[in-house]
This record gives sequence, C-alpha cells and structure tokens, in this order.
Amino acid sequence: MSTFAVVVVGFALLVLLYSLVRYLGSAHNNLVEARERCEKAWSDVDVLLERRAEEVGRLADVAREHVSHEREVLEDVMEARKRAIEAQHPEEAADAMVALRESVENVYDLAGEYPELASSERLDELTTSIRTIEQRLENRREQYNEAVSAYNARLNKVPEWFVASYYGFERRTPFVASADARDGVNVSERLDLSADD
Amino acid sequence: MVFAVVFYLGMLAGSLLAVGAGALMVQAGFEQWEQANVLQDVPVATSNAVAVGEASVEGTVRAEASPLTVPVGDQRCVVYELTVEDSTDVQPVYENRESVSFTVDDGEGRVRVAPGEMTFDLSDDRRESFEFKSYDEVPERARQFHGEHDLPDRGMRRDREFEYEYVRPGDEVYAYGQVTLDDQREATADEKAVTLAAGEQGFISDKSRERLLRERRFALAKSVGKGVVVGTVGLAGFLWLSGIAQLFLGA
Repeated sequence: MSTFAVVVVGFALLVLLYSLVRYLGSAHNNLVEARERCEKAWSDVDVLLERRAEEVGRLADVAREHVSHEREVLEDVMEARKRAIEAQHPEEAADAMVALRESVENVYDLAGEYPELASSERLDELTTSIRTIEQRLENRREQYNEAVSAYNARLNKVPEWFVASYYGFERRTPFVASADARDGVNVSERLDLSADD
Repeated sequence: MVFAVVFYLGMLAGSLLAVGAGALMVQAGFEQWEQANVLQDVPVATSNAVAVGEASVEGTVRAEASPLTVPVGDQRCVVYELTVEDSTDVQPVYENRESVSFTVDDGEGRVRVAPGEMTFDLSDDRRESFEFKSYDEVPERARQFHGEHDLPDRGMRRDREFEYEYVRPGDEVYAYGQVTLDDQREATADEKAVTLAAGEQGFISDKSRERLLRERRFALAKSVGKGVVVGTVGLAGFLWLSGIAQLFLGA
C-alpha cells in the first residue's frame, strides 16, 4: 500500500477513533450528569419538604393555642415533623411524608370538633400555604422520579452499562409515597371550606 | 488558460473546505447527540415547580411586550434571527437576532425565557428565505433593509440570500437551558421571578419533545459517517491536486 493510501486511510481511522473515544468519554459524563440531575431534583424536593415541615410546625402552634389539651395529636404532629426533617433519603422521606400527612389530617379533624380553631384566620393561611407547597411538591416529586427513571434507564444502555459496572454506579430509588399519601388530604372538605374555593 | 487556473485553485480550495466540512459534520453529530441526551434525561419542569439550575419547559409562547416584525417579512414574532449571505463569502455578511420579553405558559403558570444565545431548531413553517442574483434588482421586501444597513456592494459577482427564522406568540415550544433568579422582577401567583436562559447548550424549538428526539435518533452515527467520508475524500483530493501525494507520498 502506498504512503498516500496509508495517510488517507489513516486520517479516516483517526477521525473514527477520535469519535469513538469521545463517545465513550461522553458515556461516563452522561452517567455523572444523570446522577447529578437526580441529586439536584432531590434537593429541589428536599427544599419543599423542609418548607412544608416549617408550615406544619406553625400549624401545630396555632392548634396548640386553641386546643392545648389535645396533647396526643399535637405530639404526633411534632414527632412526624421531626421525622420529615431528619429524612435523608427518598425512602425515609416517603415514609415520613405519609406520617406527616396523617398527623396533619388529625389536626384538621380537630378543627372540625373545635369551631374556634376552624375559624382561626391563621389556620386558613397555613392551610392554603400547605396546599400550595404540596402541589409543588407533587410536581417536583414527578420531576425527581423522571430524573431517576432516565438515570436508571441509562445504566442499562450500552456503553453506559460497562462504565457503570466499572465505576460502581448504582440504581436509584424513586420517591414513591403510598397511595393514600399521593391522593393527598382534601383540606377544603375537611374544614368545610368549599364555599370559599 | 485563466479559466483552468481558476478552476484548479477552486478545486484545491474546495478539497480543503471539504476536510473542514467533514470535521464540522462530526462536531454537529456530537452536538445533536448531546441534545438527544438532554431531551431524554432532563424532565420537563412545570412552571410552579421550576427550580434554579438546568431545566426544560414546554408550553405556549406569550408575548410580554408588543411583538416584533421580521425586517424583511411581515411575520409578527417574539424573537427572530436574520442572516444575509453572499455567494462570494463563507461568513454571513449580516447576522442579527432580536427578541422581546416573552414567557412559556404551561397552563399552570408561566416561565420567562431569554432566547439570546439559545440555538434554534425550528420547523419549516418558521423558517423562510429568498435570494436574488447580483444583476437582479433588490426585491421590494428587502429594499428598506438594504437602505438602512451597510451591506457590501453586490457588484457583478455577489448573489445574495436572506434567511430568517422566528417564533410567534401562540407557538407551542420546548425550551432547554439554565434557570436563574431574576432580581429585577417580583414573583406573581402564576410566574416565579426566574428566567430560563441559554446556559452552555440551551435551545428552543417549536417541535414536540418526541419529534426532536426522533430527529436525533442515530444522528451521531450518520454525522460521523458522513463527516469521515467527506473529510477523507477532501483530504485525498487536496493531497492529489496539490501534488503532495505524487511528490512525497509515492502516489
């Protein structure tokens, strides 16, 4: 083979080799980026979980002003709130979210029993705030789950699969709350506020 | 004789350009592939849950100010990009992008978009072009533009082409980029005080996410394949035509 042919074929092989190396390098970067997207999506969820825990704390304070003798319900709320704040992972957060929702429901039940609590303006404000946060939380939870799903799908693709095995990338768990928690609490119904909506 | 020299030099330059074009094709393939990765991996954020950082949004374009008009057309739009190319120049002789403030409305709220550095990937319905020869009169629609801008004299050689693309109010778009806090604005009930800007590789399109993904399927393999063929043929042509192959490479 003449030198000319070697140069020309060598050039073609060089471009192909460059493309292959860049492709494999990108496979690693894609995995890292997909994992970072999961981390970021989780931190976006976490911010709202914290904000909701704060609002629930305020809700408990309002309830305490009116029904301080209902110690068990109030302690449950504070305990669930503490668990929600301490949750570090999606699994813990999902469990804590269910517990928190159930305890908040109990506070709303109290509002049904004690008219002075139900008529509190502060309770209305907090109810609206918690509702807004929960709607945003649900959207961000979906975004987190989509990011996790994309990341997990990438782990099964070639060439990412080889890179993932080599570097020890692990599958992630989506943030799945129980069906009850996902359905949410119909606050308006519980507080008989439908006329206001 | 003169024609032969010009033809030879043209072939030589063409072969060199083919090497560069091949490299650009490979690069474009990787860019398309990166966009495909973004489309697959970045969840579409709802307007009320969009957070600072990388994000993509989908929805209807709503103008926040009086829409623009494309200078050489009659389309009303929120952003347009106009390019003027002459047959004698590799680089465009005029390039400009203008926009007015606009948001993407997903039904739950709105997210402001700054399309400044975003790449456009618009459908044929949102792209138009017209050209005229060096000896033609400037078309009516471009006459005012010619008068207002300092474009090179066409002489007897420059054929000129106007190309423009635009996004109209009411268009359904997909936009990807980086969300940043906008300190200049107050958040409202249906719009957070954030702006989606280009970031490193932001893009905006009036096509659906599914269509964008479909168009990018195998884009990398196709572009690299084409790039290798075009670049290699170009290199072979250049080495042969310049005599390097015969003098130094034993051809």
